[in-house]
Amino acid sequence: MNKLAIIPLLLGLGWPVLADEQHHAEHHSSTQISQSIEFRHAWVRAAGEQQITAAFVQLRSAEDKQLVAVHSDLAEFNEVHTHSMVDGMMQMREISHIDLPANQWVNLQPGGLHLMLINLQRELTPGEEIPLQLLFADGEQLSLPFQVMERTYLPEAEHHSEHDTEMHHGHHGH
Amino acid sequence: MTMSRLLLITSTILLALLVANTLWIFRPGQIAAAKQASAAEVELESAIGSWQLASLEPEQYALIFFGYHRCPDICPLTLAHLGRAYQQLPIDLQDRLQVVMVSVDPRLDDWQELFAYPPLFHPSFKAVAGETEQVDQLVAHFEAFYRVVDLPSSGLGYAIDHSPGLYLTNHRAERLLTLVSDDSHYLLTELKTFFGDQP
Repeated sequence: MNKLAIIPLLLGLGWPVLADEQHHAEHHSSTQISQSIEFRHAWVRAAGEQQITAAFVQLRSAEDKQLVAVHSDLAEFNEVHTHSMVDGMMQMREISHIDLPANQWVNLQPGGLHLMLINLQRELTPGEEIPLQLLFADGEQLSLPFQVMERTYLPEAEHHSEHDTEMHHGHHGH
Repeated sequence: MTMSRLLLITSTILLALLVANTLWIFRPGQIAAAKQASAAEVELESAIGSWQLASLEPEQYALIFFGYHRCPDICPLTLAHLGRAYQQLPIDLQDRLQVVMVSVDPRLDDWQELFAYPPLFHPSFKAVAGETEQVDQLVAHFEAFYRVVDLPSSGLGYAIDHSPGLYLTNHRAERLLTLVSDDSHYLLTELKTFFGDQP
């Protein structure tokens, strides 16, 4: 397999800027970012004084891949982490990689797999968008735009997403 | 002679059993009551001064959980779910329910930043911190756990593993309900059910 070039993103294609529209978009559209990788719902939790936050994205690769690292200029340390429940305690640990089995959506989400940004150089304000570079075991690098979301933001589980969208954001018309 | 001796032995044994039984039944209960009272009186600091469960009004409840300010994902997730559930409670129930995050990292957390954190999720939410011994007393009372773990290879340096439970309690530090959930719908349902059963 030849090295895949980073294809410039057409912002707005998969990522409407308005937060309300985003709820509709997140489950229905994804963006093909390279010949083999699609992503959707890339977001990072707003951060202020604690200078630390987590970023999430859903990824699907056409071939088996491993996400091995994340980079950004915004944070001193960028790490791949996961949570697990051990001895009745939630524990968070750095991990070496995240497997992306071919053609399966892998969800990085709160309480599970996530990208950790440590010692942020500045605050992350809801509404802005930051780039994070994802590095894969085969050497491929991708730069993805992550939407900064309010701390109160919760991604909806698929099964009640429509219900919640209606409930919390009123009627924006379908 | 033999008969009366037998009676004496039997009654002695019975008496011993009765005493043992009494101790066995009542001692744990008394200890539990004493522990509960001391848990209610554990004094911690909040943004507006000292805080303790004992200072809740009799009709008030606290939903407490353990976390820390630099907790990067689980604490904001818990607070976000709580915020969403809380907003959907009837106003009269909101007035009776205090959501309190107890820092299990009181030495390294910046207390002022800690206190400012839960209100980002709902203005009424609060954080409390204090001496480790005091915090540990509350942790033990609610049968929660935490441990500080060194992570030398991570930029975090350390993390704190902690129980994810939410503990509903009152001014007597009674353990009324323990919720473990990352689902605001579930939290809302459980809280409504609990309060629906209360006078």
